[in-house]
This record gives sequence, C-alpha cells and structure tokens, in this order.
Amino acid sequence: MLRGLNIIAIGGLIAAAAVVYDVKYSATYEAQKVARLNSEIAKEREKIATLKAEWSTLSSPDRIQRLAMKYLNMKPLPVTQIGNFSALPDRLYTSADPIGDIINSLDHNGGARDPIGTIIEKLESAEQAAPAPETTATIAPNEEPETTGSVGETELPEPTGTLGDIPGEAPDAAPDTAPEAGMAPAGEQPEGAQ
Amino acid sequence: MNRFSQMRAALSGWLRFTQGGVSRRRIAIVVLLFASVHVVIAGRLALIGIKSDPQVARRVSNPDLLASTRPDILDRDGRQLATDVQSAMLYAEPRKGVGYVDDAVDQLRTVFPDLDERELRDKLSSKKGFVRLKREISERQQHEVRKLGIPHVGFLDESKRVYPAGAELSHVLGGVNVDSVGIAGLEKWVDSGGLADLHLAGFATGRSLKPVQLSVDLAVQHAMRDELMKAQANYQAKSTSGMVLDVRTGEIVAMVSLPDYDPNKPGKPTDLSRLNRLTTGVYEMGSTFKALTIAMALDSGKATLASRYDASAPLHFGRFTITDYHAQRRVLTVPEVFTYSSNIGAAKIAMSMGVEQHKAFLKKMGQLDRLRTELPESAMPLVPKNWGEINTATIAFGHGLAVAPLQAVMATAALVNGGLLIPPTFLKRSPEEAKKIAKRVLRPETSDKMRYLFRLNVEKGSARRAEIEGYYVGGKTGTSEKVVRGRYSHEKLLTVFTGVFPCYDPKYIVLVMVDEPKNTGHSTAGLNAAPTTGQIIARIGPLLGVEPKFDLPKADQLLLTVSQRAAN
Repeated sequence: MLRGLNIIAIGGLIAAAAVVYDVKYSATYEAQKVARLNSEIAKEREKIATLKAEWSTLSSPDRIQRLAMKYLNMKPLPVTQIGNFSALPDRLYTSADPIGDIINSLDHNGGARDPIGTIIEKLESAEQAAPAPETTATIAPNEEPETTGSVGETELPEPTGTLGDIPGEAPDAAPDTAPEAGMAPAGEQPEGAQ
Repeated sequence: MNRFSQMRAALSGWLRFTQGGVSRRRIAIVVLLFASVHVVIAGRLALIGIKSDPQVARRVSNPDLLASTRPDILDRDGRQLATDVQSAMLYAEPRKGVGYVDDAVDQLRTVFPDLDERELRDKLSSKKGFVRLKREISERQQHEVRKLGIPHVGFLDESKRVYPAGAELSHVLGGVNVDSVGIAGLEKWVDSGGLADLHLAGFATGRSLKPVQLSVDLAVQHAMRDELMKAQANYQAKSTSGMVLDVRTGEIVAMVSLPDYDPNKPGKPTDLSRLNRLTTGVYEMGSTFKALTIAMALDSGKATLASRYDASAPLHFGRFTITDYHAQRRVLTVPEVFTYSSNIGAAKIAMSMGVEQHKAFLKKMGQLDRLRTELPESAMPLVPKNWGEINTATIAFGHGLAVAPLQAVMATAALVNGGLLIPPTFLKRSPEEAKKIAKRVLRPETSDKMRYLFRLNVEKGSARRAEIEGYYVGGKTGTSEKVVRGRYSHEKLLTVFTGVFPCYDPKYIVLVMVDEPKNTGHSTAGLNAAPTTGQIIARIGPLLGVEPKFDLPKADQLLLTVSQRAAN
C-alpha cells in the first residue's frame, strides 16, 4: 500500500519534473524568439529610417527642380492659369437622376440633348427596319431578333426600380436586351450605329 | 554556498561511518581545502557583483551611448528635415592589445587606404581603453576587417544625423557635432528640452522620441531660396535674405539667409555663412519703419488719412538735415507720405506724437527688446542711449534704431492682421493657440487703414514692381544707407521690402532683404527687393493655397468698403 503510494508519488514527481523541464525550455525558447524578433524589428526600423532618409534626399525640392529643368519641358505655373469654380461656364446638362432621364428620353423618343437616348433610338430603329444579325448575336445569342425587339419595347416604360433589378438577372434571363442596351450604350455604340 | 553546505552535511554523515583515525583526518583536510577554495570563489563573485570592473562597465554602456538618437525634425507637411541613420564605427581597445601594432596598421590600411598611418599608429600604440578609428563603415568593409582577424578591433553601431534637404534650411536647423549634440539652431533648442541629459543617462535610445514638427514648409522654403539665389546673382549682392510669416498665427513658413551652408558637412562656426541675418543680425530697416510711424499716429487718433504734413522744405536739426529721396516739395497727405516715402513727412508725424509716446509705441510693438524664439541665436536691438527729438525724427523713417528683421516683420504683421502682436515661432501653431498668446496693440480700424496704405503703395507708389496680378499684393520699400566707419555710406545700401498678400485679408508677409546690391541702376528697394518679393509671391501663393482673385477693386474702393463696415 505504502509502496504503491510511493511509486505513484515518484511517478508523479518524474512527470512533474518532465513537465517543468518542458515548460522551462519552451519558455526559454519563446523568450529567445521574442528577443530575436525584437532585434529584427529594431533592424527593420533602422532600415525604414535609412530608406526614408534616402527618399527625402531623392525627393528634396532642390533635386527635383534640377532634374525637372534638365529633362522636362515644363514651366512654372503662372497665377493666371489658376481659376475658380465661379469662372467655369454652367454645365450644359445637369440632372439629379440620369438613369431616369435616359428612360424618359427612350419613352418619348425625344432626347435631342441626350446622346445615349439617341444611340438607343438608332439601335431600335435599325432593329425594326431590318433585324441586324450581328447586334442580336452579341447581345442575346439565344433569342430571335424580332422577339428581342418586342420584349425590349414592352420592358422600356418600366420605372427605375425595375431597371435596378435587371442587371442582376442579365446573364441568363432572356428578355433583357433593351435594358442592357440602355445600361451600356457607350460600349455597344459602334455596333448599334452600323 | 548552498551546494557546499549540502556537500559538507553529506560528508560529515559519511565520516561517521568511517572509523579509521588517519583516514578521518585526511578527509577533514581535503574538506577544509575544498571549503577554502569555495570561499575564495564566492568572495570574488561578491566583489565583482558589488564593484564592477570599469572596463566591463564601459563595454556594456558604450554602445547605448553611441547609438543614442535625436528626434526627427519634420516640416509642416511631415516631410523629413533631419533624421538619424545608423552606421557602423570602427574602434579598437589598445590597452588589451591589438597584436603587433605595425601589422595591424598595415592590415587596416589595406581596407581603408585613406586612414592616416601615423595617426593610426599613435592611436593603436596608446594605452587607452577605447579609441575610435573610423566612422561610417560599409557592410563589405566590415566583412573585410573581420577577415583580417586583428584582436580587439571591432564595430559599434552609432547614429549619424542627416539633413535630407541639404542646405535648404541650414540656419533654422543649425547642426550637431560629432557626438550628436546640437550646437546651433533648432537642434540646440531640441537639446535644451532635457535631451542632452537623457543622452548622458543613456535613456535616449532607439526610435522612441517624438518627432518635432516645424511651421516651415519645405516647398515654400525652396521656392524662396531659389528666387533669392537668382536675386543674389542678379544684383551681385553681398547677401540676400528673406522670410515668410503667417500673420494669423506668427508661424515662420520660410526663412532663408544667403549665403548658407550644408548642415551635413561640418564647418567652422565662425564662417560668415553660419550667420542667420534675420535673427542674429540687427539692421536699420529704413523706410519700412514708416509704416509703424503712420500706424502709431492713426491709432492714437492724432492723425487721420486726410491729415497733411508739410514736406516742402528739408528739416534741420543742428548740423543734421533730413531730406526726401523722391522729394515732392509740397504739403503731403498721410497716404502720400507713405507712397512717396517722404522722410520729412514721417519725421513730422513722429514729432507730432512726441518722443515719449513714440518710444512707448515702439516698446509696445516689441522693437526695443530682444526677441526670443526657439532659435538660441538672437540679437539685442541697438537703441539710442539718449533718445531725443532727433532720434524720434530719424527712427520715424527707420534710421537710428537697428532691430532684427524678424522683429520688424512681427510688428508689420500686427499692422495688417487686425492689430494683434503675435510672437513668431518655428513650431507648428494653431490659430487658437495664437489667439491665446496674441496681444492687442492696435485698433482693428487702424489695421484696415494700414492694409489700404500697403496696397496703395503697390498700385501707385514705390512698390509697383512687386505687383502680382491676382494676389492683391501690398508692401513697403525701404532703402537704408549702411554705416561705414561711423558715417552713412551712399554706396553701401541695404534694401528691404515687406510684402503683404492678399491685402483684402492678409495671410502672409514676405520680407526680402538685399544687402549691398552692386548692380548699378538697381540700388533702391523698389528696383531689387520689390520685384524679387513679387516673384516669390507668384511662386509661393499657389503652394500656400492662397486663391488668386482677378476681379478685385482698387485700393480706394477697399478703403471705402472698410469705412462702410466701420460705420455699420
């Protein structure tokens, strides 16, 4: 009984010693790692400081001016070239809701001042006159020309809210030709115009 | 010790079992022997612990001391003006021996051919504990020296102060000596905050120090220096200096004094280029002082802009005669006194105020006392000992009282910023902080009238060449004759221009001083300092974010709106 207890105690002692040994050495190891990292940080800081100093030297106004005068064909900025906002002419066309305006112009077939509207208008009339195969092919390859045209027309008068939803469905949903043309007119312009 | 007592206890236990007398005695002797050796070792350890070997201590503390750093100095936008860079330093410990000195000298000179042979031999054969052989050693050179294997020769990291902008800001920054201690300028000021003591104690190490941010704008400083260098060459002047001051906060945005020096290179402190003429020199500021005279009269209410002063005949004081450079020979109004820069008129204005009041006013404007800033270098104004009527008459137009140019600029700022005297500073300062330390010296209405006069002088008066369209520049020229061997010289002139822009709401003052311009035909301020100031304003206006306006009324209308504002 006593001997068993002793054996357990000795076993416990050895285990404890092993654990303490391990903890001590891992602590030492960690401490060394910390010290190494600290010295690395210090070294990096020094390097950063050196690089900063180098950058400041290289970007010093004196040097930049010398280089600019040697290699660039630039002149000092005269005061008369500085303007202010009130000196600017009024914007030709301003709108709080540009997308709504596009839809409106499409709707009324007007939009004389709206280039995007005019493009779409042209695109539509081209489709209606003679379904251009390359236009439909690029926009919706699976659909037949006349279907796209008619769907586009029914979709157009929709309010802005619907328009916002459509781009999400665009890749797979079939009847999205017109909104897509409305959304990305600049890219489609050459094809639509031709 | 603990181990020893354990051992002895174990031994004595074991001795009890051994019965033999002789062996017992022998063992006791051995125990005693070992015990005495232990005592000696323990004693030596204790001694080392209590009183450390000076050689050992040196090795421990020295690297820290050498690596001690200074705070970075930044401009107002955070660009680096001064920083520390670590570099290796070669040292030797001759007391410990470096082997054969001749061999060591020859070997070291294979790596560093520029080392002086005799000096090196002297250093290595001395009995010093520590000698510094060479600074700034590259990695490759370090490697080569290590390969030589000379005993007790090694490397230490030390920090070196570098100024990336070079000579751009030399006088403001000052410089440090080889031990990284500030010897001039703001570097010295940085040390005065207890940094030197920290260094000695070995605490100021690493990059823990907070950077010092200045009010100086490096871009503005460069533009100003560039323009002044052009002017220096153009007018063949002995020296050219200038500064830009923010009139709302008292911040010094740029300060140049040519000739200047590169703080990266050690130089003689007695060298003339080390002199900052704007703070350390005192000058008779000439006609720019008339602005102060007129402001005094306007502020006291004794004179209005419509007051008239007879400048038809020269003024006589005993053997002195005061004449006008641009003589009109008639009665002049106050604006005419200003724009024609009439000495007679200014003298009469000052005399109408009386000597005591004139003196009190200049005292109030800080012209009679030493102006202290962060820069350790400052100069005491030269004030006449017996201030009589003639002194008042001449000081009215800037002769007979020599002040530091920075001081004069501070007073001019008060004339145009609404009447607040703000001590100038080289450190960044907010308008709120400036308001706290500002002292009201003039009524705001007086300041409005002074703005009008400054602007009028550019539109119609002697400062026409300072005009830069869009910035509504105002200013006053000043040409003073320098005293050579006790007499005023007609050849050696100092020309000064104080420019204010924009005059409808002044933000900055630009001062330009050209000392002894030689180019004939360009000797007065209106012909050299004024156009230089104009060029500087055209360049720094956009940098400082001052919006140019092209639809502004003439000065007369400015005054009209001012008087309307006063009436309401």
